[in-house]
Amino acid sequence: MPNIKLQSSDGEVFDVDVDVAKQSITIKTMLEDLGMDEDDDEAIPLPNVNSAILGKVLEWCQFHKDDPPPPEDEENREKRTDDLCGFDIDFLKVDQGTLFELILAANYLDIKGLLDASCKTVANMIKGKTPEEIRKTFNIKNDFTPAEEEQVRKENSWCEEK
Amino acid sequence: MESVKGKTTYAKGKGSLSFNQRKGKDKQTGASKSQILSKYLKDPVTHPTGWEKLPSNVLVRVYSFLNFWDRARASTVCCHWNSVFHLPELWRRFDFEVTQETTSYMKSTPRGLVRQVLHQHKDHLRFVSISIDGHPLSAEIACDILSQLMNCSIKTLELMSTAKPTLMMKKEKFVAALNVVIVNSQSISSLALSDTPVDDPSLEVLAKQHHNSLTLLNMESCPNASAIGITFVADQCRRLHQLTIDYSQLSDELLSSLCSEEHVTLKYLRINVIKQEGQTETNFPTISQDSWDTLARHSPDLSLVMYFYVVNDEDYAHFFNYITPVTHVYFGRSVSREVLGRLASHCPGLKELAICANGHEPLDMELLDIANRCKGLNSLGLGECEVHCSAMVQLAKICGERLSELFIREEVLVEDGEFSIDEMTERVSETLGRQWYPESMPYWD
Repeated sequence: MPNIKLQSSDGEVFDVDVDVAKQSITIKTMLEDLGMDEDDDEAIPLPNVNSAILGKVLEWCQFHKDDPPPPEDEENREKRTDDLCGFDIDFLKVDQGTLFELILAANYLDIKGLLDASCKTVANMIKGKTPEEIRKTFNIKNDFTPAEEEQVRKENSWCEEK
Repeated sequence: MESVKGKTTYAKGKGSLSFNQRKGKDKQTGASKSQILSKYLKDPVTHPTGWEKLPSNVLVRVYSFLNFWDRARASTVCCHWNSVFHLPELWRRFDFEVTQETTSYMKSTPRGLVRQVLHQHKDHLRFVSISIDGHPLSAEIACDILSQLMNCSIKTLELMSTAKPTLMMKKEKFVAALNVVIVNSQSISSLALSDTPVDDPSLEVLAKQHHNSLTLLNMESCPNASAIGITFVADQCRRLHQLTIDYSQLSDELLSSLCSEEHVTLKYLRINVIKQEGQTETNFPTISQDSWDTLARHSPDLSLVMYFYVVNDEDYAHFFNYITPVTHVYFGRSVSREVLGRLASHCPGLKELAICANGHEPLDMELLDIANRCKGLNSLGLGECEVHCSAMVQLAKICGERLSELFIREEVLVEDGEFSIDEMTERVSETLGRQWYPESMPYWD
């Protein structure tokens, strides 16, 4: 398989199997637009992803390179979060900063499988928690004005019902 | 960020070839690499840190993996998370559960949430289902919800009831509420109204308003809808290709409407043969052989599914007297050997057969007959039907590997001079080309 070079925001160059890299729809489209050849020496710059995260992302892509393409029919897909494979569960056992950056990278690089897996992980961190617990978990500041907060609380008071 | 969807895709493993082809093309257009790359680099490298800044499309995805309770709690965390909670794409589908504590242990959709949907997100709804239990109050609330779904763009509406036989609702109120939805929606494509008092006039409105969009209609156990009403729908809605009805609503006219030249080919037609409780006489129509033949010609790939919930031979007398294009048959009650014999003779297209019970004698001959004559049979399930082990071995031999589903309970298998259950299991596995076992019921000590 031909390889291509990817350059992270901090200048590190990764030599990657084309098919592994093409799980990123962004990279795939870039390659097609550029008409790049495998003997191209030039690295593709990815200014939104640093080397630590790009390394992780490529590790994920390497493991999942033989996955079937994700189904198109999003609307009717079953929304499960307990179906992550063992690799993904271990892979996403990372600190929150890394998880956050992985999500942004998966989003920017348009890697649906990784984005889904990481969003499921976040969903699992939200499940069953009170709003205060969620804020604490993700270190989120409550930025509602008192009036807004009262309005939002009232609107959603049903979710506190037993 | 640039949208990168909808571009040409290349098959995996052809990487280098497609690269070279692309290279040639791009040389012609003359776009320089830096020009192309700049398209992808336009966005300044801003890494908003902090989960309260999670991009909306990502947070939508996170929410999509949560139920409404968790979503609502998360929506009160901060302004951004709240604004995403209300985005239309998260309100396309809503399943209303309407139950009462006294009649159901299922959790009812909280009233506050129902209010939120109906007041703030009605316009976003596309797929709506309402399930209710047997309590009259639930039926009333369901009607109230229906009657508020006006000026929506609903594509799919499904009503379900855990209370059989029919919804405990007043006909007038239900019909009025349903008409609100039918009249005010733009283009309904899928409508499931099983166990409701929907009537012919409503069907007429439906057919007139949605004749261009309706593709699926489920009219199971709707006692107020007649063959005439359903035929009107079939006549007008020429894109209808999935239909579920009771046998009492079937008629030659209906089949003829469904098979008109202007009508799309049918994919799925399910017919339930039910005798209502307390009903002694059946009002089963007689369908002519011509009608079945026309159906088979018009829609050669149709799945014609028939469920039988009758017992008497007189009731069965209406069926399989001549070639019938049925593909899937489920006998939910006991069935006689004569009926199975007619099935073998007149249903060459049979693919799937399930029999829950029969009389006292083993079904060996009948099953072998069906296996021999129905060359497409690939799925067989037997409940309380005795079969000899040697017949099972023969059956597997006739069908071979095409029999992808074979379900039979161990306790109905009768050992005979030729095979014990274990020997039979081994032989059947051999002929099916895979390890196969009869179903055994676990013992609870």
